[in-house]
Amino acid sequence: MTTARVQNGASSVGLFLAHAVELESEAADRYDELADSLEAYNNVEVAQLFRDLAGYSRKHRDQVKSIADEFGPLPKVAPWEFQWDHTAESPEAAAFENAHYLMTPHHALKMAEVCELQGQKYYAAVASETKDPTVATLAREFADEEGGHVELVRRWLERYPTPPEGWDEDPDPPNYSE
Amino acid sequence: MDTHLIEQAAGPTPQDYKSEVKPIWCPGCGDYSVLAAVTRAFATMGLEKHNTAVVSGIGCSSRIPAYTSAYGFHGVHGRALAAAGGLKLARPELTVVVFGGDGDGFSIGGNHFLHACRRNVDMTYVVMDNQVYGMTKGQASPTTEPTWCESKLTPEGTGVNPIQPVQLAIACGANFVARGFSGDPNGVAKLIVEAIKHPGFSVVQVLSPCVTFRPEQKGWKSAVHPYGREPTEDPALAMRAALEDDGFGLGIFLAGNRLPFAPAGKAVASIDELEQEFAV
Repeated sequence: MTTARVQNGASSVGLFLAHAVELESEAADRYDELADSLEAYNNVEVAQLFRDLAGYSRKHRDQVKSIADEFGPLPKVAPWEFQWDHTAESPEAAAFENAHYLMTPHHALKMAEVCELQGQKYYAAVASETKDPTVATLAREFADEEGGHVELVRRWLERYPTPPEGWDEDPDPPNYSE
Repeated sequence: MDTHLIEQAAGPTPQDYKSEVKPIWCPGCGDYSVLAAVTRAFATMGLEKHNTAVVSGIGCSSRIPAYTSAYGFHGVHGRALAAAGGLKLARPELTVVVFGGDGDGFSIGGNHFLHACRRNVDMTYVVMDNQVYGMTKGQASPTTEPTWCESKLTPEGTGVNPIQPVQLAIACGANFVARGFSGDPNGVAKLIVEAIKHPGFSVVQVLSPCVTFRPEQKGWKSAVHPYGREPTEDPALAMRAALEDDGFGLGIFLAGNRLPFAPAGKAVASIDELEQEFAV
C-alpha cells in the first residue's frame, strides 16, 4: 500500500470525485482509441467489444458526475496533477502496448480485467489513506463497485477462453521486413 | 496545486481538438498516446483552434495534423520545420506546433533541424522517436542503435552511432529541450504545455514505441525513469546532464533564456506585390 501516490485524491471530497471522473473518462477515451485502431484493421468483433467497454466507462463517469453534483462544482485539475496508485495515467486506462491487430475478445477482456482490478486497488488505497470520512465512505463504495466489475469481466471471460497458440500467426504480416 | 482552488470552468476538452478522421496507426502504437497528450495539452491551455497550427513532415507520426482539429499542414518529407518557421514568422500571433518522427527530423530533415535550433523561432517541435522507419516497413533510422539487425538493409546492424536528439538540440541552440515517454501521456502533455509557453524553439523528444517493427520497445515502459534534475537555463549544464543520461531519462533538460528570432517587423513588400511575382 502506498500513501504518497494517492495523496491528492484522498485529501478532499472534491478532489476525490475529480479523480473518479478522470479515471472513467481516460478509460473511455482509451477504449475508444483501441476500438478505432482495431476497426482500421478490420477486427470488427474486438473493435465492438472495446466500443462497448468505452460505453460502460462513460456510463460510470456519468454516475460519478451525478454523485458529484451533490457536492458542488469539481475543482479543476491539470491532467498531470492527478495522482494514481503506481500508474502514470488513470488506472482504468488500458495498456495500449498490449493491443495487437489479431487480438481476440479474450485478450481484450484480459486487458479490461487488469483495468478494473487497478481501479479497485486505487479506490481501496484512497479509502485506506484518507482522513476525510466522506471520502472514505465514497472510496469504499467505489472500490466495491469496481470489485463487481472485476467479477463481471471474469464471467464474460468464461465465454471467451484462452485462444490456442498461433492466434497471432499471419501468413502475410504487416511487419515483413523489406 | 493552486489550480485545485479554481472551480471547473466550461473550457475546451481534449475531444474538441480531435478531428473526425480516425488514426490508422497500428494497434499498440505509441503515437496514439502522443495524440492524446497533444489534445490534453491544447485543452489545458485553452488554445484557440483558429490560432493554432499543427505542421508535420512525412511518416507515421506526421499524420497528426489530420487527426487534430486545429489548422494543419502536412508538408514535404523533412521540411516541416522550414514550413513551420515561415508560418510563424509570417503570422507571429499563431501557436505553431510541429510533429514528426526520427527519420523525418534527423535524417531527411536533419539540416533543417540544426538551423531551426540555432535560429530559435518561437515554436515547438515534438519528435516521436521510435528508432525506426515504420511507414516504409522497418529500416534503421538515425536514432537506431548500431547493433539492430532486423532489417534486410542492415543485416549486421548499421554499425554507426545513433544521433542523440537531446544532445544535438542543446548543442545547436534550441532554447527548451525535454524528453517524454508515450506511456505517460499526461507527463508528455505537461512537457508540451511547458514547451509551448517557453519562448524560442522548443524540442520535445517523445520515446514512442513501434510495436510492429520494434516490439522489444514495449520494454521501454520499465526502462524510462525521471531525469532527476531541475531544469537549467545553462546549456553547458544541460549538455553535461544529457551526456550522463542513459537516453531514458524523462524531464526538462534545458529551459534557456535566448531571445527568440524575430524579423525586423516591417514587411519588405505588400501581399499584392508578392502575388505579382507568382502571377502566370
